Amino acid sequence: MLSEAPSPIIGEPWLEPADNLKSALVLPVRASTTPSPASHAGTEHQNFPVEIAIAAIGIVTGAAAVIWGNDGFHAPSFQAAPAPAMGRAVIASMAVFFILILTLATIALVEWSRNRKTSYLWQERGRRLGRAIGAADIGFWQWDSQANRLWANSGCRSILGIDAKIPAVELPDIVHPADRAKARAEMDSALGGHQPFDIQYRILADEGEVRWIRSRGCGTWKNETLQHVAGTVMNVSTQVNVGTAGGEERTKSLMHLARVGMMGELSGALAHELNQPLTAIMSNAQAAFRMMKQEPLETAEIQSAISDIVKDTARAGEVIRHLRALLKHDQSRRESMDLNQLLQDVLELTHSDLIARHIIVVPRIGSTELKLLGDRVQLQQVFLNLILNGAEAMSGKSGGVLVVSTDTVDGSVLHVAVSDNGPGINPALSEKLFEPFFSTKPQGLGLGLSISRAIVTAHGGTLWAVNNPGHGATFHVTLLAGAEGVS
Amino acid sequence: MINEPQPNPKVFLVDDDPAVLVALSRLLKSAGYTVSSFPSAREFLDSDDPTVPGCAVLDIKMAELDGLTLQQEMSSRGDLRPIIFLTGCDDAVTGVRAMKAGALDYLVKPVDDTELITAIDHAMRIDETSRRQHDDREALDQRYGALTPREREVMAYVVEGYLNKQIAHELGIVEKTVKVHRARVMEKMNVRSVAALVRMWEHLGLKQTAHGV
Repeated sequence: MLSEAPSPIIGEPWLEPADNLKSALVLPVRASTTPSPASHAGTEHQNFPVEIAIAAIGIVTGAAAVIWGNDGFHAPSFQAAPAPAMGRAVIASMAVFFILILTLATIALVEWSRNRKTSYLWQERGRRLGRAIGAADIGFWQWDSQANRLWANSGCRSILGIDAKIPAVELPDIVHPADRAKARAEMDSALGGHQPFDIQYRILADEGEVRWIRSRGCGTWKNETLQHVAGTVMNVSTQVNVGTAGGEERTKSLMHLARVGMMGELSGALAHELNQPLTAIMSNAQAAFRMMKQEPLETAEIQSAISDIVKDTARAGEVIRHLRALLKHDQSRRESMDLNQLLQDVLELTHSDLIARHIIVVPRIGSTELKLLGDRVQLQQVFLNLILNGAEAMSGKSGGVLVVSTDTVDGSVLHVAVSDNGPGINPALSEKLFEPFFSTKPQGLGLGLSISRAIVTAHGGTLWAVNNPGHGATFHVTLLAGAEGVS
Repeated sequence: MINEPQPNPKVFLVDDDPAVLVALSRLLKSAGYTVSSFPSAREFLDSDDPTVPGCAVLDIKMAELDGLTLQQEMSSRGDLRPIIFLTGCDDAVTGVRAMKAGALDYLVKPVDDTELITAIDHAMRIDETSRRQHDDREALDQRYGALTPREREVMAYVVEGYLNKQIAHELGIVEKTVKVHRARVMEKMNVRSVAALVRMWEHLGLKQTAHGV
């Protein structure tokens, strides 16, 4: 139980007020102020054996004295050596008293040695744990949501870069703006579902340093009320950076593979996109051929047939050019673009596929430009993937509605939400979704979302998914506006 | 190969891709057909007159109402023109569904002109035959409808092989009157022999016998 601060282990006090670290740990803001009445329930019966022993001895002694004093006790051995009544009582009392003292002394001795041993074990355990924690560079923390008290070891504070002495009110939110909403949503969703959490987000440490924090933990509940949350924090910047920098080659080939896979999923739609101009070209050519054999020669009609052939060939070429751009295995390029226009383009590309699936698209895309720097093809791929995933989630059901919306948080963070009304995400799989080669589709490669997240992260943004209150799920993407993302 | 097309039958072309619609319409016109083209299923249905003979060439994949839904809508409105589907991808499931719902043909885009024209000619012939059968049946119904109840009774006995005398006895009238009724039946039904009358009776599919009239 977490009812008591584990100060015996590391020996650090509660932080008052708790809000100092709470924002950095993305803990829920709302907390009840009524302390839990049962928080000390666990300590009440600690002295159980001693109390029972004393009570038992008292009862036995009292009873023996009463029986002997009333002359109601006729043991044969005492009859053989009779003594005066007063002397008998004194001897008996002394004997009982002596036994009592002896018993108490024995119990006290046993208790003392047990305590000594326990406290030694605790101290030893604490020292070992402290050494291990120091070596592992892990921060520990606990939050008593009832009393709104937060305890954290010094490692926790140094990982988060927070000085306990600074009053909470003066502390800015150090969680990276692009990660705030996502981290909070994940934390709320885990705690709301009585699940352990394992989240990663960036914090803005001193002097503009960006740190990746991995925060894991779980809560305890009593009658559906959150009592405590305990967890660990780790600075995983090195791992994350290695993952994005050192693993760049791997990511690039994975991305290529994912694109090829996505092309497979798109092939039906692409066949349609290419077949339309080809059909027009073929029919126009054959019509022109027939018309040229007829009298009188309808030159004007033949000319328009040929000019249509030229137009449709260009259209087919455009489809192929687009396809090649998507399949191209090249370096990422940063260019300035309008996020709204980018989404319009992607929606156009998926138009026929969505029609074939009887899905209604509701674009909530503003007309004002949302400027950002990034790799156009890669970002197109992300949204293409999210839209197709949403469509896939709703296939086989009528009334599928896909809402694609864009907005901006104070102009510095751009936000895209792709929301479907399908069956939603199994909570157990919500993080697994983003792992490479994990797929819920029988023919899926399981790369779409992992690549998408890699691309968004490389752009300094975040990609996450939450279930909607009603039906379906929403995938959120945040990207930094204007300037290139922090990498 | 290509039949001389009739002046009145039309090819009803529905495709939501304007370029394809223009090209196919141009091709079919160059092959001598009268073509009515529509950029959407809705526009086709709005102006559809099932009495105009011809066939329909429909794109399967269309925004709003797709080809298969249009097929259902047409049949529920009594438009029984033969349907040829065009599709961008050779998807067996859709093909089977279309054929099961009564489509005459299912062609994959880009479609070759001879293939398309052969399919259209076939469709036109089927439409013509079914319309003729339909017309014949309607004429027959009309003729039968012109008979008086008494004449219908007499006709039922005649096709059953009763003699005039027997009919007179059955109906409780004189034989001379039966003869008059019988002559009127033959005249109104436009037949010269009892055998022809029997064939018409069968075409009409009338179940009732003389005794059940």
